[in-house]
Amino acid sequence: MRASSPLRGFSIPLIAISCLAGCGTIPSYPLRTSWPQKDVVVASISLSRKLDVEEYRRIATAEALKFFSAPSPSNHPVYEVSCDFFVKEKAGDTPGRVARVKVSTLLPGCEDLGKLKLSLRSNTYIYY
Amino acid sequence: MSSRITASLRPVAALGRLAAVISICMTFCGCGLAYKNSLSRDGFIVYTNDGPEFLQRTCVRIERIYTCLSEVFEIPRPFPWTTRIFLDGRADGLLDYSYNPDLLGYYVPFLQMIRIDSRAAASNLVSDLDQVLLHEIVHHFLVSELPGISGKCWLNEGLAGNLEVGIIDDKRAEFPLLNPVLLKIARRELAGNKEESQLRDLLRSDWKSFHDEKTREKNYALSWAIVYHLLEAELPAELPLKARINRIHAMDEETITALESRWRNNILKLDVVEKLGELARESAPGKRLTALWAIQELGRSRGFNVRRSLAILTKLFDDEASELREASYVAFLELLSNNPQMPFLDPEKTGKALTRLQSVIADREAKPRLRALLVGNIDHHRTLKKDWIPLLIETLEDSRPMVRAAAAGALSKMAAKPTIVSPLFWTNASIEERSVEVGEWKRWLAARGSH
Repeated sequence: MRASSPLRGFSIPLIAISCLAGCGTIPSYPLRTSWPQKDVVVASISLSRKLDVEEYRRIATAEALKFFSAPSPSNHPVYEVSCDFFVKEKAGDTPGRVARVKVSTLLPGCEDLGKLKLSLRSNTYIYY
Repeated sequence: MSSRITASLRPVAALGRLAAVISICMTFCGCGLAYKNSLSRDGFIVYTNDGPEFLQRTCVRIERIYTCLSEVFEIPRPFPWTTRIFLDGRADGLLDYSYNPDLLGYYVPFLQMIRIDSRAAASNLVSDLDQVLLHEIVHHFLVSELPGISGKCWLNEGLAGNLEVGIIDDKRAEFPLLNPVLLKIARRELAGNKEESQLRDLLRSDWKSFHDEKTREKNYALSWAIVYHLLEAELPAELPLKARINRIHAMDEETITALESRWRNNILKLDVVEKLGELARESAPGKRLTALWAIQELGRSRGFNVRRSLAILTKLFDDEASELREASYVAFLELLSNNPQMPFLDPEKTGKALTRLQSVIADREAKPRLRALLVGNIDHHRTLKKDWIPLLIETLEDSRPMVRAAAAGALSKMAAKPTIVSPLFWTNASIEERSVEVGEWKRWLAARGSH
């Protein structure tokens, strides 16, 4: 297997320029949670615009790690976090679901963040 | 003078050389530098931006495809060439319903390069990544083994359409040739144009006219259909596949065109459910993979075909071969999931079949993997009157960990009471811890019954 390509280095200045220009950054977002199962949480996240797949995954993984690091309201180790992303197309419209990222861990209750990160499995669904 | 000119031109010449080196690299490496990961095996190199696990998994699948095609085309190993396969689009763990480009993949013979839009292939409803990979790799083998085939679009695409439905397991491959999706399109075209001759234009179409946006789908389907007819109905079945392919390649246009009416009749009378049923009942050892594939396809039936598929699948519940019997249980459940109206089409047969499945789930002697698979597949059946919940709660106490975990997963989707879903809990937790959860379920069930 070959290591990272040398051309990947080009992406670093691009990201820096994007960040400086203020594009590509995700503003803080409202998040509501519900617990359909004792160890499964659904986090509904409202966004002002659609994002790309990697951004949905990044947000979902960051949110999931917060949930996996603490027990559920019924005091069970969290097994799965489903992040549903909603976007309101026009003012007055009901927000529509644009994506869902399901993140689960093979090691619920694991306190070692490194091992927890390695145990994550995710599936991403992008809707029309 | 001349030395000064040379000196001033030196940086330009150096830049030119650099540009030439870069363009050669880009051409021969197929832009491989732009990909994060690559893996090389006999006959191919795969490039992808997906992670190492996806690459490893896909490489194993591609290697199996190469091995089985080398047997079909009788090519000795190591392969005399190396194909570069580019998997674009970050497909691992992604289902993108909003992404539906026309092109799933293509093969460039000159560069021996295959490019697959893996995101599109993974999200496509009528094919999957394996099928698209197989289709494009077949093109590579055809172009390498049959000189001049690139000029015969109908044969190149027709053969790829026949072979793309190959079923490949760890040890061997079978090619049923039947392509249900292309058959449906071909039948629609032939039924809609009964008088018009189709073959001559198809056989003469060049690359541009064959791939025209308006007629491309029709051309792919009719090409599959004529090649399928030649392989299955015109050439002796006892001939190896490679020999039949060679014979078709050697046939002239007039000979094939003369078969138009026989071809039409054959394709128009080819009933997909009947044919799948026939393949599903194949008992020869060399046809076992085909039989399993046909059963799976029957489970995916829609519309008018559902009732007939149900009848075939429930008959297979009594098949002597346990492998076919078990596959038919799972396909039957898939048929129910995809067709919520089905139980009402044939209530007696459906009821009997469900009772049979319940008895398999409850049978502690049956294979744990099969029981877990059945339990995992009943979770969608909310339209059925059968109450699965008491059986599932009972199954939470099963001695087999994977069956308990599957039952918890099914209950989380079917019952209103929250539960612990984590398979780790149901496989590893102590019996005392599990008993607390099971006790809660039993009390919930009793309370539900008393209401």
